[in-house]
Amino acid sequence: MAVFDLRINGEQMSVDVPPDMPLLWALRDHLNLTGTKFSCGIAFCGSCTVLVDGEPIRSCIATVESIGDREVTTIEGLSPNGDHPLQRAWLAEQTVQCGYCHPGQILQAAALLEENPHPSDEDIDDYMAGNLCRCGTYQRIRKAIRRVEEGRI
Amino acid sequence: MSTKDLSRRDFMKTTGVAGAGLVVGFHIPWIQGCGGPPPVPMEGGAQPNAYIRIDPAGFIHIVYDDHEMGQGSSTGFLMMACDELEADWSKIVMEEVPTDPSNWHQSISTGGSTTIRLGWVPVRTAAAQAREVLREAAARRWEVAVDECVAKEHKITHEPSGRSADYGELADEAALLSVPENPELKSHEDFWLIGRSTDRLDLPDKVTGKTQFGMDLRLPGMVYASVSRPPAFQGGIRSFDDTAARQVPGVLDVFEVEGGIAVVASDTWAAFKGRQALVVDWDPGPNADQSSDTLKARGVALENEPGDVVGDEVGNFARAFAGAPRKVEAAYDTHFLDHVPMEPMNATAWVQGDRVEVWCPTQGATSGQRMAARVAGVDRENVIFHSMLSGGGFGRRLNSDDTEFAVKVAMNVDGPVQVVWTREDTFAHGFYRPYTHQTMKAGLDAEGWPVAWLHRVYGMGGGTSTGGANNPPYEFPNFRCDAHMEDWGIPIGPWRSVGNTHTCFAVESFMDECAHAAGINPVTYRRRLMEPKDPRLLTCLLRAAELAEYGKEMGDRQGQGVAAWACFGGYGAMVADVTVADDGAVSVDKIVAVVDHGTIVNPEAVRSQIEGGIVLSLTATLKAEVHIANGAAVESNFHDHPILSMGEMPLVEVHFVESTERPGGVGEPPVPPPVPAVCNAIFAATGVRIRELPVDEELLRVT
Ligand code: FES
Ligand code: FES
Repeated sequence: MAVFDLRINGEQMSVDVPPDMPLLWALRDHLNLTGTKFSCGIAFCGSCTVLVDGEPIRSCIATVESIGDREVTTIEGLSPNGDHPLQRAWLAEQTVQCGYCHPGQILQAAALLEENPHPSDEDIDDYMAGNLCRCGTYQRIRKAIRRVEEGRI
Repeated sequence: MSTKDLSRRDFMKTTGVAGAGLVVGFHIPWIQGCGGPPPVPMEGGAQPNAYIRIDPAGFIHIVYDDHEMGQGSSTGFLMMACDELEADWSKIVMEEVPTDPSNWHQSISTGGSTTIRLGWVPVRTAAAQAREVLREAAARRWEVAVDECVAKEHKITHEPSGRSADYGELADEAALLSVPENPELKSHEDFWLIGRSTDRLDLPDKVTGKTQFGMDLRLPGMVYASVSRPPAFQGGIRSFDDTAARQVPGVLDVFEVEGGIAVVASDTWAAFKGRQALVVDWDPGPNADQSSDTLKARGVALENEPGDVVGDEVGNFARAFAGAPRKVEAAYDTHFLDHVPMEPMNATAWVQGDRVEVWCPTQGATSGQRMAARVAGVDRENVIFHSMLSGGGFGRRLNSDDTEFAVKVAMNVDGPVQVVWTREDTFAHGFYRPYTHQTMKAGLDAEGWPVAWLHRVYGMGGGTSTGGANNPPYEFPNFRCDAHMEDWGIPIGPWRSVGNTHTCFAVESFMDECAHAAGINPVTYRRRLMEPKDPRLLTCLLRAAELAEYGKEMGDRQGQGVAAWACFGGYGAMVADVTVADDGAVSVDKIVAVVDHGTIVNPEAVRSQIEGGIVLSLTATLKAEVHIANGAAVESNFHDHPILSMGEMPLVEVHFVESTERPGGVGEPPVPPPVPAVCNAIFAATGVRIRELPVDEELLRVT
């Protein structure tokens, strides 16, 4: 076990965990940040996506040790009042079904628009390809991203 | 008192108690075929299993027992009550599912696309009853005629004098009156909320991460566990060595429970790691030789053996087939399907003496409570059962094996324990849609029309395999559906749309084969056979063909396919446009769906269900199913069981047939048609008939 000081959603938080523990479990089981979801554990679904210095990573395989002093953003910290343009667009398009994949989808989309404010349809498909949704909300995710991209929110 | 604790006993007491407000109880029936366990008959007939309560502050609380797993029907259910009650939508409150299912007047079980269609009359009747007693209470208060008191916008207004009173103000007085048995229900043209797209109430918390799914439960002192179970379905444990597992930091305990080895730890990761460190000698059990090939061989061997007749035979298939001038025959294979909810299976349990508390994201609270009581050896009344939100269900969460293992582990732990299944556990220990081998035979007359039709299903578990086969939407003068059911010891269960997912594949693919054999356009062909049997579906079919421009010019290796199906009270026809690459990769470019679900309560939510049903279906068609080797499931995670991803999502267009019929089911009906629509389109594009799922790209490769 070792103590790690993490910067999460603008706050300093420390966890005492083994260095090889994936960030996912430190967030969920030690810091009570359960918005980040577990689904596959092998970086194949994107449910556990968080941003590290703005880059999307799969927290089910990224170890706590690998984070260092970089800033982690989880769904709880994307916007202070849950009103990030993507969150509003997600509601405007009634995008969600069960919702389990959506914290990851929204963070992945936030990184996409940060990197590429005007993505083509192909850019969206490529960037979002690793975020699976079993309920099948893809068409609405595309529309919601488009809404933000076009400033219609 | 809190409305969620209402029971029949309390209900009797509550009505008429000052300060409690107005309570109207009602009963939502259960129907056969919804996938859940049958209801437990209650003494004295149908008792309320849902309530509308208007509190003195004017909030309207709706208590009913349906589980929200993403389908959105909870919002629709409340919309029905709100419209009929002429209430203010912002004052409608959804209550939690009751925590003592043993004290609830029906099995609490959500399946079969039933929330809206079974709630349609009862919830509106109860809302109308509440509305009528509120009017009467106002009339008495003001000493005026009831006819002059109008319910609108959450208040009763006496029109001649302009006096008005809010529902909350009148609730206690209304509670003293008896409700009319058969109040008049509003007619369609008076609906102002039903039929208007309304934002789902569960979504705001789902985009901020606030929603607590089953696995997100955190209790003081809670520990975590992972259970290692025999990989083979009928396997067992010969011996195990937990020395290394116990040395993993965070591991607190390791013990055997019936059917597995539990590793308990201070967090989920330590439980998983400890579990990986177990050294187990598994007993492969009696079915170690079982594989998908042995199953298929058995199905093939029985192709020409008459099975047990399912449903009603029409005419005499054997004689008509023998005498038909042309015969068409084909067999279709579908493999097991796991539901793959994004939230892996899990449950949390706490056993304290003879008191058990369970938190589980489940479609079946009653079955969960029974399971907990059975495992812990306590009375059902001693089990408090919290239904948590599910990250997807699709039928998987009707089984209570999640609760079963949580309670087994909790009996050996001091304090609450959350048992988390890995994705691999969830794949390995599913209740799958069964494997089927379906033999189709048709005798065609001289013009090519089918005069004899046989659908023979080799599979397991009765209706879970045959559902839909005995009731195709076509009329045949000679028809027979029969089945060979064998138990292979592989757990099976209802998968969204149950038997229809695969029987529709066989019927609608074979219908296409017959149309081609007859040299008749597949839509024209279906039309003539469907007309006398299913006019609602026919409307969908013809409109879908028109909107999708079925038969239009397509490019090289592009094609269109059509399919239509009705199940769970919903009707839908779909046309798929596909492009098949030279390497055999299939891209579904577009799907036009025309659906008739009767009255649509929340249109945007219904569209969303249809889009999602299509995606689920395309995964089964193109991406992955579950195979068997050595008596165990082969596929284990998304690397070998991919699911449709964003870039593979076709453009989906959903069109509604306008209708004032009562609402039909929505969750399941969109799942069956895309399978044959896509396979028929692949045939149109390449001339290759797909008779086994998922589609084998090798068959489509240009050599
Ligand atoms: S849980 Fe991390 S990618 Fe699936
Ligand atoms: S909304 Fe259910 S998995 Fe995406």
